[in-house]
Amino acid sequence: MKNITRLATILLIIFVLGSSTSLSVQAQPDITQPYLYYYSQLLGGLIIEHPDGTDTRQIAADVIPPNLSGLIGPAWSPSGKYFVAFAKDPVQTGIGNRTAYAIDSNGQKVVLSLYEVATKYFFTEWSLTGEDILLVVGNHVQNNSIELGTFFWLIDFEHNGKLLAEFATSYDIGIFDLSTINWDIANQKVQFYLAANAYDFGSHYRITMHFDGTTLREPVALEAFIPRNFESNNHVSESYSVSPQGTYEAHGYHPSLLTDIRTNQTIELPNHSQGKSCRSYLWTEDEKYMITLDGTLVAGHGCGDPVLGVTNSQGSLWRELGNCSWVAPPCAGWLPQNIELAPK
Amino acid sequence: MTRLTAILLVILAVTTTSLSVQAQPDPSQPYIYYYSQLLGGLIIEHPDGTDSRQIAADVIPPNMSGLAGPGWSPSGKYFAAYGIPSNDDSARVPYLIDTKGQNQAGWLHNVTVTSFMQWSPNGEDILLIEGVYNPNGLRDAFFWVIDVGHNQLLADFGVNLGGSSQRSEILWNVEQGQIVFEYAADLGTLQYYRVTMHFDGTILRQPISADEFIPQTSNSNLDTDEENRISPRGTYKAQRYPIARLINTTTNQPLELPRHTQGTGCRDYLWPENEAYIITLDGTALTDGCGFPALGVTNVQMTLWRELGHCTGASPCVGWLPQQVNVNNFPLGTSKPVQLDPIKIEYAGQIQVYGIDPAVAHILNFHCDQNMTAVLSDMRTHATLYKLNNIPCPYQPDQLPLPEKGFDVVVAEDPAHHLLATYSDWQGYGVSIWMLHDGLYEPLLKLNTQGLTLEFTDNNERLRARNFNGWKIYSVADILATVNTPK
Repeated sequence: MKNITRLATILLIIFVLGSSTSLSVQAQPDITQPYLYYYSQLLGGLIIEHPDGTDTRQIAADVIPPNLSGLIGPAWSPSGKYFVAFAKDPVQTGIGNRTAYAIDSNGQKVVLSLYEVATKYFFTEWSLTGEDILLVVGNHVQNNSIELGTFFWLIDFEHNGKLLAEFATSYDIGIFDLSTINWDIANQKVQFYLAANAYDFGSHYRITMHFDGTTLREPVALEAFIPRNFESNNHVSESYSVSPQGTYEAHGYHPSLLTDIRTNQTIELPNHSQGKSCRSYLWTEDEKYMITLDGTLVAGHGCGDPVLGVTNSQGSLWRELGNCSWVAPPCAGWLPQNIELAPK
Repeated sequence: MTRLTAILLVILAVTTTSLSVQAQPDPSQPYIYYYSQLLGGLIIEHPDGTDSRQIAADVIPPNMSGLAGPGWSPSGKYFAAYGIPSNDDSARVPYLIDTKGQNQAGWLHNVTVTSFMQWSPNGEDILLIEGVYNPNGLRDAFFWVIDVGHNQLLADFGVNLGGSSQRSEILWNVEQGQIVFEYAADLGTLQYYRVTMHFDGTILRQPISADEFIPQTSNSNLDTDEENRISPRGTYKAQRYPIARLINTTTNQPLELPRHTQGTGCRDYLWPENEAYIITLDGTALTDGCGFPALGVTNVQMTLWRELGHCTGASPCVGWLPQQVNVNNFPLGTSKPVQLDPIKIEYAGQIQVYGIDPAVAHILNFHCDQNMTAVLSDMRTHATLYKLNNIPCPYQPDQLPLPEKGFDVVVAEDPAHHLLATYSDWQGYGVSIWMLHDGLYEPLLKLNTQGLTLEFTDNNERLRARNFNGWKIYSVADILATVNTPK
């Protein structure tokens, strides 16, 4: 009986120790910190964590492979339930074509048809009116030798990836101009303009894609067509950024300085150990944290694909996160607030 | 002045002499056209080989199984077809040429797999092409409507057809400037659409119900059950098998038609309107007896027999030139056929041979030596036998796949004229003739014959080439004459 009591005591101690020990490594979400996400070039998939590295998790490591030079694409859907990106380069040695990746917030593959869009990503856009409907411009070309023919797919993620409408043009994906997309959800359609730069040179068309599958292409006059202005981040080379609410101004490189405009106090921000020149910033809305993108050394340029870091507005936090591309998001960013993270 | 006149007369006489090699059209003979598997392009000539010319050899390559598509345009000014490859290559490139053989709509070379071509049935030179850009992306189909006469793309439409798909007939309405068709795309579930392609570039795709969709039915031109072919006016009945006979339906008198030296059975016929000639299409042993045929042309008196090569079937592979095609629009023809004909055919009774005899063939290997010269060597002795000129080195296995263990080559040499004749299964169609220059054999021409056995005979005046059913005999003088023929 005495032995049994002793054994029970030992087991109880082991249980208590085991429970408390294992629980202690699971971080509690820190509501004072936002979440950042970034593509892990080292491990593949996305890493989602607090800026200080707590509450960290990796998703989709079995979907998005490591060693991509980066990701491009529309990132998180309006509802926050889905993430879509494409491998940045059309073909990378040992990796393959510019594959599409579509996952949910748990890292599970969704809309498998999108994985067949192999190369020549040109443009994707989530509905601007809040629905999880994605416009994809791409094609099914399986290698990089012939890249003619461009498809416009309207995919409803909320309904199991249903293809709402499809339009195709025989132009090469890079040799036409595209207008802005007019999302007219009330009338169940999108509309845009297209101008050829190939053998149909000089033709301008208005494309209407109805969600019931009806598509209409109409010739229009040149005046009707206003090409889309694809923005470029021209502040990168100046390493200059102003925080969202205008409180801070980041400027310079080696050193990178952060000036509080209200107090005119300036602090020195950390330098990336692999960064060479050029810096870009992604701020949180509350201006407390910044993701930094530092250009790496490229012969003749000095501003190659960046390395990622995260700091805060006091410069008291510094973590280096790995490499990615300048296209952030989807390479890195602050996690939208409507994304529900699964419990770990 | 008199001297000048004399000079002009001499020039005129000389010019006339040079023109004498150009054939005069013979109004009593129709024109035949056919894809030359041997030389590429189209050959257009009289049945007897006179007024012969080749067009588009630089557009339509040799060594394909044949052509498919609509052929001559309604106006006769253009020819449209797509290639049927001879190997597993899925490429089916569209070709659109004018009567000079000039390539039209050059961007079409980007279309790698063509599945359908059709001329407007209303008489305009408007062409519909259905195809894909990339053989790996076969699910993606594009439709192009081209006004060929005005070199203008009228409309284009693309669709993801999914794993399998069906399409309706094309409904042409040229008066309203549009075509309409329906298709079913297999995107997990079948989805049905109607497509209207307006010639002003407007494209409308509308979902339709399954009930509204009527799939296209395939029509086979060859009715293999039919034992006879009747001439257009009913004067003749041509038996298709087992013995090819021509029966005059008035006299009921049978005449045995010439056998094709490579034909094994299963014959079809193409008659011109005047019934005076017949194009024959014979199944061969190479194609399991009744597959892609060997072509021949004869007349109803049996006084003419020429063998033209192989193709995949009738139009656009071979046919009588339609009336709307103006022969004067072609380049001038020559009096001798573009493909050199044998001077004689010797049949070997019922004795047939079905392949290269290993006893007479060399097992040769092909490689490029350190000087980047193509070399044929003996696999057993490793001795260099022949060095070849104008063969690309380094060796490109993707372009010219060769068996690792070497390949059987039938070889005959004519040292008197420095000629070499070779035949093998991998070198494309026909017997290759090479001529020795400075230690290297240069390709001279190809002969429309098999060379299951090859022999230079009669003091090297003749080349005998064995075919399944007999021998084709060529004049070496004719072969040598091609050396000086302007290319």
